[in-house]
Amino acid sequence: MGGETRVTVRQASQSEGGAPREEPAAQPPVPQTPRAVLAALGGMLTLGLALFWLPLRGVDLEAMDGYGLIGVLPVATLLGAALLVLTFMATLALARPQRLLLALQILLLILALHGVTLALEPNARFPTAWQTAGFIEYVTRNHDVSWDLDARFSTPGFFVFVAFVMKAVGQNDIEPILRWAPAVTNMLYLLPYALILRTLRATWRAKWFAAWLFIAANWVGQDYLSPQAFAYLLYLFFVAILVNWFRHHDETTQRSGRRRSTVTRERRGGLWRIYNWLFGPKDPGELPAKPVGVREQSILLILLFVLILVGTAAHQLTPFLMTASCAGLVIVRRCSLRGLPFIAGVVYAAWISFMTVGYWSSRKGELFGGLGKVFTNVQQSTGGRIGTAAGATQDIQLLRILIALAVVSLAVAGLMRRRSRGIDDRVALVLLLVPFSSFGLQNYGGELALRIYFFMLPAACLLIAYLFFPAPFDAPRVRDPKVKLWLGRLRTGSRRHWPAVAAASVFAVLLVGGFLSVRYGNEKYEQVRKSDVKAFDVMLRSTDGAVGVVWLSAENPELVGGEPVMPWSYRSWERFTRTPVVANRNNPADISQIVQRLKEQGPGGFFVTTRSHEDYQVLSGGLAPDYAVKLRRAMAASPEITTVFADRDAAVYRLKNPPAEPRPTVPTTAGLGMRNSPWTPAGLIYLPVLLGVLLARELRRLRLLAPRQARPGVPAAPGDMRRLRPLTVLAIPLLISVVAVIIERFVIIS
Amino acid sequence: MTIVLALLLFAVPGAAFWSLMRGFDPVGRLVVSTAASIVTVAGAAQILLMASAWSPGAGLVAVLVLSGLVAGLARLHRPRRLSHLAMPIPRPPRPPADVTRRDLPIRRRDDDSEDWLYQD
Repeated sequence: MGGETRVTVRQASQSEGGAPREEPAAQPPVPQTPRAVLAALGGMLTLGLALFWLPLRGVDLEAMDGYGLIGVLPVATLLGAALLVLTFMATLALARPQRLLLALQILLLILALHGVTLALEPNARFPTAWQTAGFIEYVTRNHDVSWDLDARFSTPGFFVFVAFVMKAVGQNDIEPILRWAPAVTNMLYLLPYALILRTLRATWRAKWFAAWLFIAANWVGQDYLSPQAFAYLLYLFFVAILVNWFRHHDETTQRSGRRRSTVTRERRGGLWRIYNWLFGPKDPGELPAKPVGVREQSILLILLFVLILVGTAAHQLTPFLMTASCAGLVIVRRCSLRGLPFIAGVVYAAWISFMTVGYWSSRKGELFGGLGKVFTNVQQSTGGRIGTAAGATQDIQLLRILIALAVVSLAVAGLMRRRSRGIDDRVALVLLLVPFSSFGLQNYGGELALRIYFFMLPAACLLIAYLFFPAPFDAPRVRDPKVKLWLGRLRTGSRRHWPAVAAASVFAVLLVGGFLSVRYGNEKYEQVRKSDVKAFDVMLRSTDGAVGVVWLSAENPELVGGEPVMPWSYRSWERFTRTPVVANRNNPADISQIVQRLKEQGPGGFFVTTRSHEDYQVLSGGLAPDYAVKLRRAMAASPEITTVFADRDAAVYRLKNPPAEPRPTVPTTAGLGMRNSPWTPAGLIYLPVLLGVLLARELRRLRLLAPRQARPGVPAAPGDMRRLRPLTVLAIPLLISVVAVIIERFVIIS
Repeated sequence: MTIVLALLLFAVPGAAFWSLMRGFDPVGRLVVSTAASIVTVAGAAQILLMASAWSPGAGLVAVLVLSGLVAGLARLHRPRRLSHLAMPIPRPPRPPADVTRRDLPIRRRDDDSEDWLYQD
């Protein structure tokens, strides 16, 4: 690899006279980028931004059909997006990394892709995001949560966090936060992701392209102001710390398998190729871990523990993935914290047992029923999501599945390509596979496939970047001219990476097009208009007590699930109840059902309809497009009904003479709802002791591993790890007791 | 103004952790401090909720106390760290100019796969 080889090659090239190269001997390895090229890139970037943003002023959102935003975006905007992509790829084609330019372009891409609606819509989008606002508002007003109001109050970490930050800085209006959350969250994701990328054995092109892909492939829309977006950030931090500072220090290049003798080692071809591919000598796909002191590792271990705690308190699925990814890294010997998966598992199980009683006590059967139904889950969260929709919405759903499949298959191809080059990407493999383990969990409202894609993304983007740029380092520029290369002119010289960049550009342009189609594919009903919010304000103002919202659904929500597509409960959460009315498809003017339901609500009954909601019922439920118009006309004309508020976008109706009874009570705050059982007090003592012992054991392990880490390759003194035994012996009975308490709680509380 | 206040709220624990994490490279130190500051603020809010004492004022006090503790810990550990720094760490020799694979200091174990025989 050293200087001698290259000298020979150079001499050979000169003496044989084949393809002479003008290469002064003392030239720096890579030339500086000329100023003119940088200026041209800057010009392209500015032009792309202008083309993207300026025409957005003239966009008519009303013209949107079932295909969403992509149908109304001006051609210039799409061209601008393509130009932004190509500028980034041109920057990747340069000879050396222009870090500032690359980082700036990624930030601008975040704003363009995740913030395009900021320029189009007056309000923050997405009704579900407004429900998060409702939880946060509940905490700021009551200084507490209420487990019996909603299952999401069982993991309130994120709500109390945002509520605290908002109150502490004196921000009372949550709308700007909702608006800016997707862009800011994506920027934050890049911090830990950069930390993950820098540990990998790859070229700068692969790393920067992976970071770019991470933004462009994240169309799932789980990055709005929500617990899962926050917990995902914690997950990325968790993984980044693990792979940066807790890599297994014994990791070496893998030797060839034991079964190969010196004779068979020489054999090639046929099955031996497969054998070599699987078990042959490999380089690790990560750079050697930087040595770091025990003190630093101890601080980081405690930080990891706190990340697990906060993540568990914030979201119910993410800690499972933290546990699984840590365990996966331990199994493939890329993580030295062997005890951490146990700690994470104990924290997770304890939280579920002690803090989410309200959720599991009422549906024990359902939980266990869903535990093994992997196939049902797969079907429900992919096929089932298409089933009900029709036409345009179905096309968008199909495109989503197509993009997800393309991303996964390209990632697998990237993994294969690296492996055939003798590189063993274990960290990426683990991070790619771990999310699939959550298919065994409960169905999670059919959204599980989206979550799996979301959690696969860090590894998948990396592996796709490897598919285009698989080299572990920038290859030497000189090749032996005696060796005939297929398409040699493209594969050697200072422009040898251009074909790969060109191929990656095609993929990148397609991906951004796909992003703009599917991310905003449901924009017709996912936007929240000013009147939607106003409708709920009007209801709260018109009555003091509970508000019974009656809403129209095309299909029976008890069978297919579903909620009103409105910012319901965006504040005063506890005052709202929701009652669906199944639409009478034959006669839109038949409002007898609605009147009946309104009477059941007592004095606070309202019928609400918004344009987003009506569009959803048309696109997803198959109602006639003029159904809502006829219904509204019938409501306005009915002698029993009075119109509280109505404009083009939303309407609120109530009974002219609402009955005085029943008068439902507004529930008071109920706290976290940790219910009691005979063994619970013991569990509350055992649990912190167990966690303390396990943490102390890990800290001691780090201390015992330290000498080995200082001199890698030197085996540890025999019996070194024996000093962990007292803590292990202490931990086992404690673990059994805690598990017993968890089981006891599960059996007794119902 | 609100954004500045929010940044300040995260900067206080962040700075405390920054001072605690000597011995890291700058990028790693920055990212870890960011993670630690987010977790501190979120953790303080969560602990207060579980203690049924959630309020903005109490939260501010909790964040300040936690940051103070961390900063105190950082000061406490400083002397040992300085004496450690006084010992110069031998730098690895610079690789020759035309070595491209400087990321591969590990030698392949492929060649000497029998050396385990001689280990005790």
